[in-house]
Amino acid sequence: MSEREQLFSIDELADRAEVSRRTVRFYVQRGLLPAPRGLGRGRHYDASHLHALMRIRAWQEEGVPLALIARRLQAGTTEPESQVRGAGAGMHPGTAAGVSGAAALAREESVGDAAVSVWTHVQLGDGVSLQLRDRAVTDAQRRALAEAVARILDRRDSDE
Amino acid sequence: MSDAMMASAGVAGPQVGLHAAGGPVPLEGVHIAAVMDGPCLQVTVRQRYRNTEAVPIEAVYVFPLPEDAAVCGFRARFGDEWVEGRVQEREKAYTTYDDALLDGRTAALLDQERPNVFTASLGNLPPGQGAVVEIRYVARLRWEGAGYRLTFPTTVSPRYVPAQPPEVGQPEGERVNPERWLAVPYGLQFDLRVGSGGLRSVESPSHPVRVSLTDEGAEVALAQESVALDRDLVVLVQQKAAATPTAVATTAPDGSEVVLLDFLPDLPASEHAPREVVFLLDCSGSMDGSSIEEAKRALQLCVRALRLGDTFDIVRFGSRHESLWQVPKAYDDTTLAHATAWLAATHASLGGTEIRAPLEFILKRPVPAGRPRSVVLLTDGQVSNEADVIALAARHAGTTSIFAFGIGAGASDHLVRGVARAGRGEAEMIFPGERIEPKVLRTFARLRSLRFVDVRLETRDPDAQLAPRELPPLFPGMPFSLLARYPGRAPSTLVLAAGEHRWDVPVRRAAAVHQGRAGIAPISLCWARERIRDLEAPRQSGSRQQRVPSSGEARAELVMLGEAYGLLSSATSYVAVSTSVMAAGLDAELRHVPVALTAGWGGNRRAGGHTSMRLAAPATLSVADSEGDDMNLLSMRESDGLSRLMMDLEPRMSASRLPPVRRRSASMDSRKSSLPDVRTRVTKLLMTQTAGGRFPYSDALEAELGPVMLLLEPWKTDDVVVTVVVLHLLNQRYGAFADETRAAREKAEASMTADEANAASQRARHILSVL
Repeated sequence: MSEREQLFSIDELADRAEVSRRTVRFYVQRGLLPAPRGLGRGRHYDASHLHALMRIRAWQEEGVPLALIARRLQAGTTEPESQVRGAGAGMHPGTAAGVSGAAALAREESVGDAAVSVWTHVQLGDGVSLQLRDRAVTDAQRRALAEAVARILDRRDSDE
Repeated sequence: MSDAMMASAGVAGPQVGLHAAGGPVPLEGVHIAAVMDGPCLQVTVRQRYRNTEAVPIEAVYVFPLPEDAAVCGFRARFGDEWVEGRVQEREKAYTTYDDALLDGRTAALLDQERPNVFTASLGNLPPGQGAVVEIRYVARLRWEGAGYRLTFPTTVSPRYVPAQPPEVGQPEGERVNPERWLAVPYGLQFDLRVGSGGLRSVESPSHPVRVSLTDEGAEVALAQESVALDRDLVVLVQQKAAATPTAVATTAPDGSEVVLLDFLPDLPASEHAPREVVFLLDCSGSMDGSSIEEAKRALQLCVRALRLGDTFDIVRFGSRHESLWQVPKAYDDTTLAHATAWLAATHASLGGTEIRAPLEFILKRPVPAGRPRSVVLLTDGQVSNEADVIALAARHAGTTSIFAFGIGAGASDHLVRGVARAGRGEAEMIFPGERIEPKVLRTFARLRSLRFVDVRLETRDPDAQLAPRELPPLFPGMPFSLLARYPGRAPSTLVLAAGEHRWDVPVRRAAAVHQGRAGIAPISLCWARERIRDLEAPRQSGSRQQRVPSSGEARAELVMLGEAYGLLSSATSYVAVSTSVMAAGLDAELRHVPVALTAGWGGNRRAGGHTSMRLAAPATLSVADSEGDDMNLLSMRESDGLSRLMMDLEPRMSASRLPPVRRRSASMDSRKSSLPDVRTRVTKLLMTQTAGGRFPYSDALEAELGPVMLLLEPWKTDDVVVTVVVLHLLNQRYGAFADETRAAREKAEASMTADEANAASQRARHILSVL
């Protein structure tokens, strides 16, 4: 399957990725997205821009900070992990307003010369927690996970 | 390694990347020209840019305006041509601007980030070229005490950005946290013209000013040609108050009329029913330095304005919060002493500004039966989640009224006034060094008085549109105003009702000269601005959108209003595009205009120096005695990103002519040795007053009496005599502070019977005669 060389104007690109034009410009200015080719209004973006744009957007929606997104784009897909428990200065990704009950989201950032890894520690209930590397979960996902795990563990208990 | 990186790394805590100066700055200067004309203030802000580099640039400047400003005009001079801006829906305006840049034209864009924070973007400025951006706004005059308070903010203070839900695009917090330098190379010029009607005096607590009186009124300018943009510019214009209610109507081209009603309700003031008052004190890192000292001083005065029968509590907050007691306690000598000691030991050491949690903690406590509850908030308001906090206040307005003090040289009026407005209370701003006592008195007068929340305009016209829709509460003795728009002719008399009271106010027509440039009168613009505020009011707490609303009817109306009246809002922006095309080819490089750190922010006293001239530091900005308050290193490290960054910065600051970064104890010692000024002495004396109103013998009194204290020796333990002596002292020696000491004097007089007072005066007459 060969890839067609599709070209997009900034508005077409923004529409396809479902972001605003302002956001596309912002990513270019921040160096996350390569600059478009051409001059003036004839400037165009191609499929590689679109792919990158959609990845950046997906990461942002997961709560990945821009600094980390930049590193990921630079480094490519996989990177060595270094896990050092950092200070975790009370950062709360995910719905700050929606944190409820015992389900606290805590973040620990490892800072070293190697690539930065972010481990997210998700409480799924009493005595049950999950650790995720370089991803975050939405409130809905956390609830679903908590329920699923509870079901599995309960079933286990009742089987025995 | 800039703010951007800090903000996007999701670090909780004040986001301040402070840099030593370096690199070309495309902003050359700012000029604010204001005119007090009729019921409104009309202001023109002129920003001068110049590209000193060899490549074309896009300059982006984040700056503040007062939160109630109705931004009604925008034009830009590109080279020799002036271009009028036009209002468009926000994203459309961006497209217009961006398309212009793609075409190789120079263009300017003005966006609203918050009601008090704006971004000016100037793109495709060719090498060597200059440009001017001119922003016009109107604002209602704000009455405070004995005159009008005019505030012109000059720099956006660093904001604490609490954890946000994930967002796509540029993080919200970044948009309101521009890059900061220790010193910036551009300065501020200012002039103000004041009409003569009943003018008494003009002064400024923030800057030395020159006032020249003319036949038409007064011309006010800064004593220096140009000053740093590192603090609010505050001008107090004392005038005789308009005693009778006034209603002024202006006619729009479409035949509609807007009426502005202004009056001072002449109702009996206070009632002495017991109240519950919870004080909420911001102890975040940004308050460090003069702000926390001002806040503590204000709070010490506030607790002394309570009466026996009241209950109170104090909550201090930063990244976490702690309350003095589990539940509010009755006000008496013991609890007063306890609170005083706790306050004295308070530092701005609690980290970030998580204001929502403690506010919610207070508001969710059970409401005491039959005892109205008020919150008194003291903060610099530097947060990015203003909408959340304001929505929270609005939700609980039925059970708790909120009064707020905005403290510092650059407090956020949007947060402070917004939260008070939503909480059906009032706000006052305290610039460092301003007299706090009258503000505390006014706030407590409002807090105590029987206010009317059911104010209504009795009008037979069902199409009359009030702005705001929900009228603010009416406080006896405090100015009240409202705006109403009639599709046709306004009635000849407005009838205002509150409780059982009614006021009939004849409506007169405004002088024809009070028309805006596009033929829209300032009063009409003010009405539209209030409507915009109603539409932008956050509906629910926890909303992830700072730019609310993002869609739907409300947003459509915002766009309609913005376009019809030429006003900026969260949904409308101004854009101006030059007619000529510059040589195409190179992409314009992005240049963020750095801003100066707010003076006094986080303890930085020497902030925002202007490299090529000295700011004559007015005496008003000096920090009064800190009462032996040692900032210890450990609390500084825990507190905020600023101190960490400043410690990082030190090795990088090469030029010795840069102002020194704040050192720990050294600078504190030099302040301790200075003589306390008169205000501080009076405050110290007032602070010895007991909950019941009497004055016991104290060190402060001894310091005042000097050798006369020997005469008072035999009566040291007789607090009636001591109180009489103090009252006499306050009347004789500190008559100039009559306003400030009134509450304390009344309380003292009420604490003894006439007989006791007379007997004591007799006993002490030889002392009184020498005071």
